[in-house]
Parts: sequence; C-alpha cells; structure tokens
Amino acid sequence: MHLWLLRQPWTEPPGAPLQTGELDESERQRASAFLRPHDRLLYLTAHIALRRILAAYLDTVPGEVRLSRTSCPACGGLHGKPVMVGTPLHYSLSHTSGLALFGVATEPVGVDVEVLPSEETVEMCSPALHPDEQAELARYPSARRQLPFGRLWTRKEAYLKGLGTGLCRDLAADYLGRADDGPAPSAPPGWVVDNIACGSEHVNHVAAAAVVDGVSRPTNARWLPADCLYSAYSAELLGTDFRVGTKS
Amino acid sequence: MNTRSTARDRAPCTDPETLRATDIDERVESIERFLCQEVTRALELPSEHSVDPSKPLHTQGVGSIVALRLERRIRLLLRIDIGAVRILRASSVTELAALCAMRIVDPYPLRSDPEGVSDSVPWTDGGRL
Repeated sequence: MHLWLLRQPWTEPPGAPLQTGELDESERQRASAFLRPHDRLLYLTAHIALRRILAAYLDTVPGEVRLSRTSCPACGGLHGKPVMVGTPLHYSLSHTSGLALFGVATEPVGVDVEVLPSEETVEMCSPALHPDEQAELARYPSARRQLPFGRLWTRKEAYLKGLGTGLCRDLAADYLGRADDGPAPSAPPGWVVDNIACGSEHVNHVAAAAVVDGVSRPTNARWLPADCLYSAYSAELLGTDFRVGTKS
Repeated sequence: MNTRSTARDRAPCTDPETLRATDIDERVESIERFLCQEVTRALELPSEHSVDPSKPLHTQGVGSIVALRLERRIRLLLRIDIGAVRILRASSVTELAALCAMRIVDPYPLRSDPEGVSDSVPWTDGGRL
C-alpha cells in the first residue's frame, strides 16, 4: 500500500490554473455543485491529484483514468465504493478542509482524514460507536476526548471504506479501539487499521488507513508537491517510479 | 423599529407530538429550520454563510461526522431514525425535512428501520460525499 498526502491550497494562484481539463464530466458537475468556493477548490484539487497519482501507477495520462463505482451494498444503485476500471489496483480518497489523503494498493484499501471535531460533536456522536469504544473514550475527561475520538473515527471510517460498505454498516458493529493502550489499535479479522501522521503543521487533523492483512504498508504517507496541481502532467512530478501492479 | 418576527426568526418546533398535530407544510418548514440551525451550529458557520435549504448538505460542507451528529440530533429530538448516509444523499435540506416530516407521523419508528438504510448512499470521500 502507498499513501499520499496533499496540502490543499486556500486559493487558486493567479496565472497558474488548476488542471481541471483532466477531470471527467461527473467530477466537473460535482465540483460546480459546491456552494462555497473553498469547498469547490478542495474537491477540485483532491480529484486532480487523485487522477495524477493513479495515472502514474497505470502508466497513462490523468484524463484516461477511468473511475467508476461499485453497486451500493444497501440498494444496488451505482453509487458504492469508488473503483478504477480495467486494473487490479485499488484506491481510496479522503479530503477535508486543508488536507487530502490517498491510498493505493493491490488489495482493498480505505483511508480517511478529518479535522478534529468539536467537543460538542464528540459528545453527540460517541453513543453511536461500539460499546467498548465508548467505554475507552469515557476514560478521558470530556474536554480531552476530541483527539482520541478523531483517531478512532478515522480508523473506523477507513475500515468501512476498505470493506466496501461505507457508513451503511452499523457503527457499533466493529471494534476499532485501542484495547489496553497496546502499541497498535485493534482491527476486525483480516484487516490492519492504523492512524497516519499528518505532520506537525496539521495538528488539528487526524487520519487513518485500512488495508487487508498481509499487504505491506508504510509508516507514513508521502507528501505530494503542490506543483502537481498546476504543471503539465508528468509522472516525475510525483518523484517516484511507478509501475502497474506495483507490489505495495 | 419593526418588532414583527418572521417564521424564520422563530425557534423551530422539535416536539414530535406538536409536529404531528400540525399540517404537513408547517411541519416541513419547521423541521427545515431546525436542520439549517443544526448544520450552522455544527459547521460553526459565520452569519454571512447561511445554509441553503434548496441544496444538498454534502455541497455545503457536511461530511460524515457532521452527518452522524445530525442523525443523532434528529433521533434525540424528533424521535425518528434517518441514517447519516440518507442525510448526505438527500437532494436538498427541504427534501430531508419532508422525509422527516413524513416519518414523524409514525410514532417512534426507531431502529431497526430497514428503509433508513436501503434508500441511502454509503459512500463519502471521507470529508464529503
């Protein structure tokens, strides 16, 4: 598994337009639906970077990467897990204000990045979690639960994305806590789920990745250069040698 | 000075019994204002950024955690079960309010309500749908 982080720009620099021509019609429509320019910019930058990352792995150009969705596990509609067409590689994307996180692997993968939720939100949402997770959070004073909640939530959402159910699955069904404060958090059988460092400049962000057990995984994500959003496409922009079927 | 308050200025009614006794239009309007207020508070939006009830929540900065928070608030106050993914999938806040307004007619339709899952989209990009 490879993990990539992108620091998202707050404004589009004048004279250096984003490479939006590489997006498909669906992505452009989604982007235009955002009400606030900042949200639109976050979506656009995340999807431009996603296509450039995947193109590098597939040895193609970003506009040729074919993205689709599996059928929804709940209703069967074509809005389930995001997938690439015509390749055995799997990917996962998550973006929130300030950061985007990308995971690419030869097996199912899920990633999640979030801004730390407010104390009030933590209090409201905690009862939806697994009983043992709730008990672990309750050990912290309410004013200090934001970080453990955020770390737990991102592990849970990354796992649910990797599993392919997303938030359709009962949030209390799986335990992703950190029993006995052990070195690694617990994960459902067959999966490895852990938090990802977001860097010292992003202390209010939390992130996690989930991948099928047995797949090698990095300790940290690699940072994408900001240039990868604006320059003409070249796989070298990402600074690494990519091949289809890279053993990740 | 104009001291008349408009419907939008009033605190929305969230009492299920009272809502059940009101006509459908008033019920939807009240729930819509409740949802907009909840989202404004959850996202800590400044006053110049009001929530647009005609647009989907996922286009207004609502991601998975805020959707779950909204699910919990709807469950706590309106006593109905609308899944977080259904909240994110709604085509507008008004549509979500209408769904709540219809469900509230049946008393306490809490878990496990299969419809609350079957008509929803499970996927977010993490932050956003």
